This record gives sequence, C-alpha cells and structure tokens, in this order.
Amino acid sequence: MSFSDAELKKHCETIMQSRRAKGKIVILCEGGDNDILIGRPSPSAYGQLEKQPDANFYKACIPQWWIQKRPEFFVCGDKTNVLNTYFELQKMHENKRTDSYLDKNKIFALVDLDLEPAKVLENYPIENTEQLFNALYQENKPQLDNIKQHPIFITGLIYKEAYFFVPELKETFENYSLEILFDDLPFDLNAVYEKMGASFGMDKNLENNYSIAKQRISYLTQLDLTNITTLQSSWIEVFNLAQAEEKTALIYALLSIHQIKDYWKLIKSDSEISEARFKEQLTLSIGSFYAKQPRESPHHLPSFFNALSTTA
Amino acid sequence: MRLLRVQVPEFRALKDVDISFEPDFTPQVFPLGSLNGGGKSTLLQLIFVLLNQASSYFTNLFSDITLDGNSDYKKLATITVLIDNEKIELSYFFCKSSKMNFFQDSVTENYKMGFQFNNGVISIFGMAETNKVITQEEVNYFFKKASNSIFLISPSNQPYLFLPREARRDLFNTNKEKYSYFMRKLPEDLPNFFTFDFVDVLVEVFRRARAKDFKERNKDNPFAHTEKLESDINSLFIDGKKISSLIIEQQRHTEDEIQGIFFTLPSGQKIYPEDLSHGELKRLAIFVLIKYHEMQDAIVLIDEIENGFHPDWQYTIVRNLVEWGKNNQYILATHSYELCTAVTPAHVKELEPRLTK
Repeated sequence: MSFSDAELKKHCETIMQSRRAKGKIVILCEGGDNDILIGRPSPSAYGQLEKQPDANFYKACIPQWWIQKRPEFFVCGDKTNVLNTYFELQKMHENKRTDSYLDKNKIFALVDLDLEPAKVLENYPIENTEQLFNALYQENKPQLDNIKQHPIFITGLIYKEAYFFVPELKETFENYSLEILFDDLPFDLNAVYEKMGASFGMDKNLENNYSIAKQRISYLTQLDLTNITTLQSSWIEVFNLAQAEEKTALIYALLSIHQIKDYWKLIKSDSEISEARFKEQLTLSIGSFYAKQPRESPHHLPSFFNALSTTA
Repeated sequence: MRLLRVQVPEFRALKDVDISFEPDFTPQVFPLGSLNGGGKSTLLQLIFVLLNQASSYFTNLFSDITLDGNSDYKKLATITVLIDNEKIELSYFFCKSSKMNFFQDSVTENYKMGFQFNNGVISIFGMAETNKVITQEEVNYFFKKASNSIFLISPSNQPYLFLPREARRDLFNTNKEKYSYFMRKLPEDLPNFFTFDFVDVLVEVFRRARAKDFKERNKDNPFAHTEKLESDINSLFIDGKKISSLIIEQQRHTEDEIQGIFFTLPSGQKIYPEDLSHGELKRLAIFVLIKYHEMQDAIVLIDEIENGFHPDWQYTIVRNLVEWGKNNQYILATHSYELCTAVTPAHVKELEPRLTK
C-alpha cells in the first residue's frame, strides 16, 4: 500500500536522520515492514525478526571488490513508495540540510521491472519505468554508461526472484550444501526452464500486458510475437534447438516478462529446516554469486553496483 | 566436526543455556549475542575447554564450583557434537570424590574419565546417538580429534577463565608477570588457542605456499600457490597496499629464502605489519590463522570479532571466513548488528539475561 503524505514525510525523515547513511551511497529499494527493527539495532533485535529483511539479498550482492563505504539499503514498501520516497527525499534534504546525513548526489533508487509501468515523477527526463528499462538495457544487456546517468535503477528482469533463476547460477545450485528440490524432484535449472516454457502461455499478467512484453523482447526476431500463444510455441521450438548462448538469451527474455514467483515457490530442500529458512539461506548464497563477479561483469546487478561505485 | 548443541544449567553468568547450531544451515556461521556480562566469552571458553582434554584447565575453569546443600553431584554441561558423521553427546558432571562410584554404578559402561580436584571429580559421560556405549578407546579418539578440530580466537589481555586465578588477577597489575608466564605456557597445552595479534607466522605461510609451488612445478603457473596467497592477502587491504611483489619475486625461485614480509603502498613506500591499520591487521591475523593451521572441518570460536572493524567490515568478515575456511563452523560472540545481517535471523543465537531471584 502506498504511503500517505504524512507517512512519506516521516519515512524520509527517518532515512535523513539515519546515522548509517552518513557519507554513504543510499539505495532505496522495495521491501516490507519486516525490515523495521524494534529498538536499537543489535544481534538480539535481528535474531527476533520473523523473516530475513528483503534488502538482505541486494546487500549480499554488493561486490566483494567494494571494500569500503559500501552502499546502505533502505526499504520503502512497494515500487511507487520507492519512487515517491526518492523524489521527496531530494526535496526534504534540500530544505533541511542541517537535519540530514544524506549527500544529495548519493541517493539512488532500485525498483523491480514488473509488467505494468509505474509513472516516474515530475522533473525527471523519463516518464515511466518501461522507458527507464529501455534506456538502461539493450537486448536485455545493461548499458553501463546509461546506468551511470540515472539515479533510478530498474532491474532488467521482471522481479528480484528472476535473478534466482539465471543460467549462470548452475554451479551455485549444484554446490549448495543441501540437496535442492524443484517440484519435488532433484533441482535442475533446465527443468525450471522447461516448466516455464510449458506454462507461460497461461500467465494472465503477461496476457493482460502483452503489448509491453512484446516490445520488451522484440529484439528476438526468431520468435513469433503475434500473440501469447504463438510466442509460447515459438519460444519452445527455438529453445529446444538453440545452442547455449541463444538459450541464455531466450531465458533472459522470458525472465523479463513472465511471472516468476510461482516457480520460486516450488523450490524446497530435503532437509529438516523449514522451507522459509532454507530459502532465506539459499537467497544469500545466490547473492554471493553476484558479489563475486568482477567489476566489469555483464550481469545486471553487478553492472548497477559498478556504475554506483563511480559516485562512492 | 560440528557443534550441534550446548546446554549449561548454571555456570557463572550462564543460566539454563540451551543453544542448538543447526548442521544444515548455510553458511555455518552463527553469531552469538547477549548483553554485556551475558556470558558470551564464558560460553566460548567453556566449550573450548570442555572439548579439550587438558585437565589443569578444567580445574581452573571450575575452581569455584560448589555443590548445593546435600547434593552429591551437579551437572555442569552437555555438549553434543557431530564427529565422523556420528552424533555424540557428552555430559559433564561434578561430584564428590566419594560418590564417583554412584556414576559408575548407575551408568556402568558409560563412565569414562574423571578429573579430580577440590575434593571433587569432574566426570564425563559419552553417549552415541543410538544409545550405543562409547568405549574408552572411542572416547580417547574423540578427544584427540576434538582438540585438533576446535579453535578459540580471542582478544589479547583478557582474564581467561581457564587460567589460574592468580594469573587472572595479575592481569590487572602493572608488570603482569604471572599472567604473561601462563599465557606463554598456554600453547603447550592448548595449541589451538590464539589471540588476534598473531601475524608472526605470515612468513611461514608464504614459505609453505612456495614449498607447494616448488614441489608441484606447475608448468602453466609455477607460482600458482604463492600468487593466490598474495592475491588473497592483497584483497584484505585498503588504499592499494600490497604484499611486496618485489620481495616475493626475488626470492620465490628458491624454496626457503623468505626472511621477512613487507608491504608496499602505491607510492612505492615500504611499510611493515605494525604500520597496517588495526582492522587490516586483525583481518590479516584471522586469515593467517585459518591458512597457517589449515583449519578444515573445524569448530572455530571467535570472541569479539567485530572490534576494530568498521560496520562495512563487520558485515564482510562473515563472507571472508567462509571463503578462507569453507568447511568450518564459526561461532562468533558479537554485539554487531551489521555482522548478523550477513546471515539470516535464524542463524543468530542469543544468551538470554539471567533472571535474578
């Protein structure tokens, strides 16, 4: 739910007066109330959280090479809240500099791509998040110079969870300390992609926003984009015959348009730990994969951090 | 080896402690929090000593122990570990010397050993998961393996509870002669106890890496081990400091010529370990300890790990530990929120405040 005006102002004040923001890059991101601690930050307060804070995944993705003055994440709720917070924070900081630990040039926002474009706000050269996506990515490959131009970063895949399924994570899954199951069978990324291929024709969200999705993946000329049915059948056909590089491109395209959260729900482990705890831990290991990428990595999230580091 | 559970009914600040360390959690890094005086350091020292077969340190640790009223014995702790894929539960009791037979009679085959002191005896009972009797030989094997696989790393100048009382008291005197004497003696009996100022083996770590290069004579990269070590160490520093490649380059073609380690700043200026920042030195010390002792499949207890680290490094030290010693289990006594965020909330263990009557 979006912030009321009063809530927005209070949220911005909290961020401005947060000591941990001092001298740091601040990244506003999506995330729930769970990230809000009761009382002073301490091991006890953290241990009492019912689930891992949403920002922990992104925090785990901060590159290993970034040794000092690492970015600080502040969760703001949904995408609209993140964007509103970004602009309101700019205004409030300007009006109350003596009450703010922030550096105006070090405030950034990170939002999920989604399929329904969110309006960015006044005085920003880009109208909505879809346009922003088009500015930051070309054929789903991040454009570093353009990312550096924008304090608002949008993921190149539909949601954060899509970053849990990229082909490059194969070794991370294979080397994980517990056996991972997908749909009650031993985990295999290919099985995930096959299931996605077989299912995405029934994705209502994709169907309702097909024109946006079609535009988003229009660079894949080998696909028949006439409608969702032809897209599905051509995607399967091309995918089955494709070599590794083309397969990867097809997977990234699908991860940029298809509702992915349902597949994450099918991931389990055969250990005694609860599904929720297992997924929290797996998420951190996935974050670690991104953190280990070199500075010039072509991956989306490492590219974002690379661009950010130039302002640190 | 993994520590699975520790139970302490009552010992100094600890009261009704019952903490599990889940063996299937990833990573195997468990922050241990409490208020000041909550018993974090006490618990780490207790675990460390109880899994070492060093009788004099047992008796130092429990020198103040008494029995309540007419009791003949009291339970000190139960420690459950996973060793060679077998779950072993060790129960530690203190009993009157005259009552040793009581334990032998009641659990005949399970009585294993006793440390006699203060008119009493500490007895240890070992029980396998299947209630299988553990033989004396198995117990000996267990303690040999356990004492090789458990490490305690702590700040310097602490009144360690396993030191004799006079040594602990002497810490607060100006010359600290007794304290220093016992601390120097510690490595003989507890070789896996270290303080954070342990960088003197850095040269040896380099010698070993080079010896490996020398032995393997890898055609693709004859300096593979040395270069990996250099690269790992250089990643610990800020401001572009590097282990001096010049020194290593000149000497690494022979097996044992490294006499010292230097660092260089980007300007070319040479500096020495004592010139590094506190945080850099501490990270280097932990790295060197893990590499030098080739800690693998070990339980590594670290007290106050965050001291000297900026919050950014409090977070990244968790990653570092996992990278440096992948198969180890780490239990970190800490006050740091940032450190905890590198793992999940379920990883964090807490010592609850002891309730006063």
